[in-house]
Amino acid sequence: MKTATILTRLQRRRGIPGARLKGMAQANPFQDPLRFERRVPSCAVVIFGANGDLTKRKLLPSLYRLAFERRLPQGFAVVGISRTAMSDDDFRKTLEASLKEFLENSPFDQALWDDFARGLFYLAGDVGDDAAYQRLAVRLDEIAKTRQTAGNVLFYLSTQPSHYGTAAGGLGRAGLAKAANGAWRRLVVEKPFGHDQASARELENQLHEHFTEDQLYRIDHYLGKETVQNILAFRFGNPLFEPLWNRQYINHIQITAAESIGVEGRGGYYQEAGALRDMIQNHLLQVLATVAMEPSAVFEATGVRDERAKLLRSIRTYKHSEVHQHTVAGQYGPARVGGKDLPGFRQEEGVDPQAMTDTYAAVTFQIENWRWAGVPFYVRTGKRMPKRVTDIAIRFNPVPHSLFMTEGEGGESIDTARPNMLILRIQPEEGISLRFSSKQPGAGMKLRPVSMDFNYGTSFGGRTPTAYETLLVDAMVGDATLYTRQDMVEASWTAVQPILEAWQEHKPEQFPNYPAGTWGPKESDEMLARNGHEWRIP
Amino acid sequence: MPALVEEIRAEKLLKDLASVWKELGQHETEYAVVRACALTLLVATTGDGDEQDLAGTLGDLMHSNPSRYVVLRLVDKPEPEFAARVFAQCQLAFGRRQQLCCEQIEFTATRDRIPDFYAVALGLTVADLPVLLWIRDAQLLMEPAFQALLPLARPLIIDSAQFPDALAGLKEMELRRDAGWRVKDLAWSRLTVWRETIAQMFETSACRNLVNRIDRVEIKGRFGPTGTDVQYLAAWLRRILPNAQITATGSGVQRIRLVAGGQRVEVADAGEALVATSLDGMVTRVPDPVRSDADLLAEELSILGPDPTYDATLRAVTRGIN
Repeated sequence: MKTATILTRLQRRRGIPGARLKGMAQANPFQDPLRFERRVPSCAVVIFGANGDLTKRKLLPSLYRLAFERRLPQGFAVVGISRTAMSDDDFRKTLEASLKEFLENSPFDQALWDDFARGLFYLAGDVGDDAAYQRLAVRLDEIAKTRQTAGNVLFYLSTQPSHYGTAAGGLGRAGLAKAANGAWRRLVVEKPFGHDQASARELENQLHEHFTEDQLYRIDHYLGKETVQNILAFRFGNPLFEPLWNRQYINHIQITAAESIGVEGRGGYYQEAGALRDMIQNHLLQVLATVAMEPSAVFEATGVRDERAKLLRSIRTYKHSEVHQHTVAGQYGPARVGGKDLPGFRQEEGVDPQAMTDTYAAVTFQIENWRWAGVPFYVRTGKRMPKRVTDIAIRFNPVPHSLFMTEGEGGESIDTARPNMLILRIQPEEGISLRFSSKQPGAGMKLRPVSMDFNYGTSFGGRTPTAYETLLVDAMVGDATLYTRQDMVEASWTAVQPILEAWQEHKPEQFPNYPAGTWGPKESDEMLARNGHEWRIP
Repeated sequence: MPALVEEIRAEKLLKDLASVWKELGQHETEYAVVRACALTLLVATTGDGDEQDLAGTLGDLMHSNPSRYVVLRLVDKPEPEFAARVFAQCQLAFGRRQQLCCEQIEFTATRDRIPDFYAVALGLTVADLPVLLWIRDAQLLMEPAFQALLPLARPLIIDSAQFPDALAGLKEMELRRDAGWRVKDLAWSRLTVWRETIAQMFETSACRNLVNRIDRVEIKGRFGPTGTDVQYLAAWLRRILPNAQITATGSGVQRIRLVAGGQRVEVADAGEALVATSLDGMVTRVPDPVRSDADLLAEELSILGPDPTYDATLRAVTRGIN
């Protein structure tokens, strides 16, 4: 009984599935999960696109930071693959330079780097060349012997999305998707998972040709953010809120992901993708699912992902004729902001001057289940907005009968009690605020909204692991809880595809339709106004 | 300075604190001031030569554990003394425009005023948040007069490395544990990097296969008499490897060697790093920067519930379950 209690507590603390935690204690008698970080098993990480931006900015700093925190095993290696001819030593030097440039909030320790760099290897090869995979197989065999990686390999596709299927096929044909002697092979795929429903299915077919679903780790770095994970802790660790978390008490929910920057040199990619594909289809629908899902019986990958998938499947699929009533596309135009002239999207480098790309997208999602029927979920995202902010605002219903009415200028009755609002702030200023009404001091009974704030920084100082650190460890440990599963990808596309198609068929006439530095097109305000709602200013 | 004996009330101190915050808010125009608090940390110390050290430790600790700090400094003076002051420490978080501020209430008292402090401290803990007592001078645990303060908090933090007689000190801690306190030891937290490095080494299959064959363990300390750190390590390893013969000498761990027949696994101190040599000859360098009291406290504050491994190890040391 006592052991069970402790395991449950540790499980909550580390977010480790129960079965795995019990296994940990049995397998290595020296483990102390309460104090030691989750251990990563001996393994090699093979990065396709090792010379790319993601590797330099995110993957390598995350792996180095994990080494700094002693979280990587003794038997650990990284094999980088890209087309550029380079020796192992050249690769190490390149990565050392980029690490020094991109390492944030962490010191660079030369001795530690030297030790870490001994486990870095490089292989020049083209993703489409089968011979490269044969060379990789030989190299991995050597590394397994010299670095004691036990034959475990995590393949990470940090390449152009169009290469995912080719790389998976190459690995499969070289026999690298399967391992002997109980070793594991896993494949991490970065978003986008297709550019529409058909291409997503095609990608899945290509991946599944050689890898089983439990070998696939589709990364959505939003789910690795501490604040997104905290939504589950907040909802299911606090009985105070969960009884209110339904259509009886919640009026509507607003999810905002605003960026103040433009396309920043990614114009070519972005004009093909657009805001709906780039943000809503993946990140924001995952956030929505986290906010709205049912609790799983246990906190482990299958249960949590089943609930997320179930929620995504409950999203109403709009008919073609309904799309324009429930969605708004926008594109920013030039504007002068803060004394500086900002270009419109069509003036950005690499962008077609006639581009019809959505740099702003707002969608009213409806979830067709008993908990959420009739509660609109307003989701918006955009570039060149007044500030960078991602948050979720849950607006509760007004009181059924107000005692605190006041008379307006025209003699009309105005309710001074404003509805409660709960804000989950993902970034920046991570935290949670609850807005409620309070009596203004003085004579009479006038109410004013006030805020009760929880700020991460005031309760948890310290450094927060980056999303990539969290997700890399999870993949190496084999915990897929924060990764996207195939049925979740499909359900997201099912919700988004009709919108894409309708937008494609009826291109907006007014692009650009919002000036840079504003909160988006007026049509977006009108979409909410039709339901008697309005966007809050984050 | 004349002896100060004045009436000190919790309400008055809290009012003074409110004034401090008001003043901070009024005078600070460039950066926002955020009053932060996640727990109450009571600190008991002695003498008057370590103010700066302690202020530095609490200042560092507030990064990870913003708290209300209530410090009791016990002084030896011929006349009774009991005085208090309140202030706030603020730090600008990296890259932020907000200052994180923690409040501190500092008492100076002669030992005969301990009951007075107890009465005031009861009104100073932050409601509904954890309360911990860090006995910064471990010797206080042995003082009869000090026992009156222990009911202020269930978790007690001590650094057993300060005990001149290691075993006697640990037994004293075990007595408190048996009486229901949650005892925490900074000497144990100092060993985390050693224990974790060993655990990491045994992740490799080559070492894992060795566990059941380990027949000898040597723990060598850098200095003279056997310290609590070496005793803890010996007890911890003895619980895991009941059939191994364990020799443990000195204090300030320098090397741990696990031997299985002719094969051995070793972790050794190498300045700012630990060097771990595993069975297969692979050498790993593990960063081991000097951990300040603030680092050690932060580790302990991250475990507010039971700590079964530590509890069992403390019990094993004191009861000689070897």
